[in-house]
Amino acid sequence: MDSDSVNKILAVDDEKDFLFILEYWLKSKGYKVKTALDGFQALELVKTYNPDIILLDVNMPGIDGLETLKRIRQINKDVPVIIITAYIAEERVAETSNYNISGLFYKDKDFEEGLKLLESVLRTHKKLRKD
Amino acid sequence: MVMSDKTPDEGYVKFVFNLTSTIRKLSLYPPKHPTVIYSIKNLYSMLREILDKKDSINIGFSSDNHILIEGQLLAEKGTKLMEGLTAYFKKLDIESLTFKSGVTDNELEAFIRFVLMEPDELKKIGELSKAFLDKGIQNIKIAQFSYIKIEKGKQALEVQGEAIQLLKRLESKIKDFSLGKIHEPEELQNLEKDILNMVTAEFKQKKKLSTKAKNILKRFLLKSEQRQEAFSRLNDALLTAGCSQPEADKLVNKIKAGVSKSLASQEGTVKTGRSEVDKLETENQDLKTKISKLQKEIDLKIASLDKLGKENRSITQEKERIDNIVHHMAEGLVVVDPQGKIIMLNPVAEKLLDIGKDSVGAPLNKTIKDEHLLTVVKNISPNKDGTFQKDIELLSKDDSTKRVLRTSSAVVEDPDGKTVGMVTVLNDITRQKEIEKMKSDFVSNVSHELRTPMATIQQNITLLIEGLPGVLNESQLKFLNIAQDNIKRLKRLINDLLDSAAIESGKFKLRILEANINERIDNVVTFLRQWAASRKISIRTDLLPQDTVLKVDKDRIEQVLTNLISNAVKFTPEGGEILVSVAQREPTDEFPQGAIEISVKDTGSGIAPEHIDKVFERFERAGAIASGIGGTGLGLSICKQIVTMHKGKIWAESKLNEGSKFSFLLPQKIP
Repeated sequence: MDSDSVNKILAVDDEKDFLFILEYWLKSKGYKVKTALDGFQALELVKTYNPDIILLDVNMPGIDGLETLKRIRQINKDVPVIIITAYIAEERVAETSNYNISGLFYKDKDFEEGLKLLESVLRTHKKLRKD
Repeated sequence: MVMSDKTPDEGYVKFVFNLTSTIRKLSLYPPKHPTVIYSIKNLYSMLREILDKKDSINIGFSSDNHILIEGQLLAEKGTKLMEGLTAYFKKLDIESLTFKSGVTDNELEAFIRFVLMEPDELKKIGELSKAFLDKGIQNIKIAQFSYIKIEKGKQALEVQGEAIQLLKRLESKIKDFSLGKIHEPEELQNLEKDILNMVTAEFKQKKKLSTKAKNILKRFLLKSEQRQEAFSRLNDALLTAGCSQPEADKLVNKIKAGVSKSLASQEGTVKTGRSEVDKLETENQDLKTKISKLQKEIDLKIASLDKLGKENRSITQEKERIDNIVHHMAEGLVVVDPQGKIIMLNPVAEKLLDIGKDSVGAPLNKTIKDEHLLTVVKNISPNKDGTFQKDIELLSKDDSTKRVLRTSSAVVEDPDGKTVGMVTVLNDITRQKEIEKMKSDFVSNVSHELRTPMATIQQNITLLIEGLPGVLNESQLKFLNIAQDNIKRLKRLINDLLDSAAIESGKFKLRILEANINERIDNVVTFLRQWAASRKISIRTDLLPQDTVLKVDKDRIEQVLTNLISNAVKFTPEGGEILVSVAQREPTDEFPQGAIEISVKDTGSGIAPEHIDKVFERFERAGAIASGIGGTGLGLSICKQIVTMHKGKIWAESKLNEGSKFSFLLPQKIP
């Protein structure tokens, strides 16, 4: 992977421990990663860091994932967002689909599965941009 | 009252039934309501039919609540209805009722309005028969209850008695006079005066003279020496009493003629006089018998009045008891009529609906702020069966507090099946709803709080095992694998528990998307194959020949598959085999669009027949405890819920020691 094509990932989750291991693993796969512990940090990084893809937790204190997603869409309509959540029956997850999300990843699934999703989203998105 | 053993004509009975139900309807509906107009019209045409054949129809009411039509006792059938009708008429003290030909529908309606009057209004009206005429009711005649008649009868008897006494006295005087026993002019004058008084009084009252009076007068005049003067005094007395000259002339001439005739045969007159006296005496005897008979009748009526009084008291007591029960019920009770007007409500209902007792009679929608209750009322349609339940939220008048009321309503019908109103029982379930919400909030909190750290631990262990931070030695790897196996087991248990709680609180939702069913099965089998292999169990699949896409929640369907296959692995001994097969099912009544059947068959220990029906129940472990196999007993109940939410169905077949087969059907298209 040459440095120009290295994808920048923004991971947002209030669970510091989970965020740490996610970041570690993504970096081990060769991605550039920045993390945010809440919605405000995330919004700031969307502006300054300009990520290629965002992994966003739904359940967060302060402004939650749904609200953060709404505001991200005000700044950037196109950046792909994958929602991460601990529980598939989480009610708010269903609402996020109104804001153009690219996928769902459950925190207890194998990271390999998450990687597949991430790569396919990035591929599709890049292709769309080229077109 | 004359009773007959014959039963009344069927047309009459129908008419009486119809009369009763029409009275009820008029009591429930406003005057110009279509139901009222229709009922009156209907009743009227029935009556016309009866009156075409005969001049009048008479309906009587006995003190023991029997109804007589044309003197014939109405059979027991419809007794309740009859009691209702009798009650209406008792209120008016009506003993019998006659409809005469020529009666109009207006008279009928006016009459029923009388029947429905409140006791207070009735008191103001005074004499009923007069009030009837005032209202133009000419062809419906009533006879009022006997005790009123008895009063009148008594008075009449007294008057009659006096007259009889007078007649008797005069008769004996005349006898004396005829025998020549009276000579004194003064005595003679008094006798004449008495006779003239009697005659004028009677003539004035009846416009004619009874034979007895005539005879007394004639006998007096025959014997009188001043006959002509007596005639002119009779004439004067009649005029003084207020009779007209022609009337007086007529009588005087008639008497004169009679007297001359008698004079012509003096002999015969004397004889006749004698026999007249005898006749009068016999008649007197008859009257005496009549009086004593009437007296007996009066006694009987008084006794039956006493009985009625007692019955009335016991009915009042019964009513008080029921009122008491309703008053002290823990639930609120509201009764409304078909127009939504409140007929009755108890103190709990007053409190729950935040309205006062004065609301009785007012329409419900004007009384309570929210119209939720009314929407229930609007749903009333005749012939609707059973009760219906609804939870409603009511804000207090100042909007400060909210109550949740559970209402159970039932339509009330009269014996004819007509809707007369609705009874609603109100339960305050505000607290219950609060607790439900707390419970559901707790479930969603805990689900997040439990899953998040578990996911973190799991991912940490996975990264260590993958050797990302550095290569591990064999022992380190083994410890971490054990930790990972157990964390996965813990995860499954917690997921089952939380799914079960979510199902219970109604928060369990599906996310329906298109999914390739072969692919899903492959996915799950691949994931479980390694674990099965570690137990020397093989898993075979028999998939559909072509890829088939179903609209399902793929995560939940995978959950069902995982559960069924894991169970099969757990209950199958080493060397066993599990077959996962998929097949297309032809459309049936149950699944008109066709269905996909997925089965998981094992060669395990099987399930005893007595357990097979219970395996899908919560916490049911069908002998699993004895075999030492772990689990919460929730898995299959969750599977059943998931399949049911997809409008499919799930079932189990098994033979002990030969293995089990769990199958489920998913509709090709969710209806």
